[in-house]
Amino acid sequence: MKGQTFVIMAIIIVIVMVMLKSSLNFVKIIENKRYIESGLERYQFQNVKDELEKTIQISYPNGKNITDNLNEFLKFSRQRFKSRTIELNGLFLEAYFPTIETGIDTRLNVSVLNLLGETINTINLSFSGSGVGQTQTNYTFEDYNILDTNFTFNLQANVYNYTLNITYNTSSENATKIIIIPTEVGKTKYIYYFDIRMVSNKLEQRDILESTVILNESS
Amino acid sequence: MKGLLKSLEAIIAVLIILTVFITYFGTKEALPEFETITWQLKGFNSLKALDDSNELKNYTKTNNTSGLETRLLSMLPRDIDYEVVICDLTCSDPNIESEKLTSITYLTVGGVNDFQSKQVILYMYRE
Repeated sequence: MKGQTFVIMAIIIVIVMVMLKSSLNFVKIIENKRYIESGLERYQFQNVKDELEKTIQISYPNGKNITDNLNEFLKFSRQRFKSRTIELNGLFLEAYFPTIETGIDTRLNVSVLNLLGETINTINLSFSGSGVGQTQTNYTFEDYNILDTNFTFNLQANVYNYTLNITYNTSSENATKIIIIPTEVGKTKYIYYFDIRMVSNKLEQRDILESTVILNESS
Repeated sequence: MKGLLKSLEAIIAVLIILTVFITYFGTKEALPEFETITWQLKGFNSLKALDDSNELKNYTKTNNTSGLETRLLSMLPRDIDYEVVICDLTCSDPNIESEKLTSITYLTVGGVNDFQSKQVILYMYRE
């Protein structure tokens, strides 16, 4: 074997080593890890949403119980995540009315929980529909606070969809949401609208949960 | 003379390889840790499965950590140790000493007529 052969072999080995090294893409591996970790945060966000819906299911048949339990769970979750530097924020609106009878005034109880992480400067709730037009405005609605209010309606038909319009503004956002209140003679309903957000240093997540639950219906 | 030259070239070859090896592979770049993330995902999914089947509330209601640990035996990897803490907002520290330790938290609200916000913290480790 000639002496140059050693040098040529050494160069070949060096090329192979360089190729091996460059095929190990550390940036991609770290990105993959971050992705998997953010997947875990997505699970945790889903966990909160699932338990919110479960709270509604297990807090039947009283609309007041649902509101109290939801508020408790939300405050609990928020504190829990805060200790791990994850912000759980949102605006949570619940509306509840007892069994409706035709031609009799019925009260719609509305509860709004501010967990936006900031003060709502102005919040406007407007309830409208057949023969109804009521508006309530509140100022300086602090974070962690609950706004309880009510509206009255008198259902003349068997079924009617009223409209609850919520408008609010904070130092960082202005928002408007229209919520349908589907009233029906002989039924008790609970309507919710949750705008829920989770923010960490890895991920920002936001979701809207809204639905109507029939709590009771008279035969 | 020819033999000496051959040896010299062999030494040069070794030096080239050594230089490149030290330059490229000398700096330690630690590979990210994936195993503990896998544990976290498995732990979370196990608790979620128990919650979905309404089993979890039976353990959280009575703070039955040992019962829950036994139940998790068939759901978690065999090669890891684990410990469960059930608590509300203030939770005790299990004081586990291990080089590889991770934990996940699962929030739960209990069951019908038994609403209770609780967290289940699953510590997973290998000694």
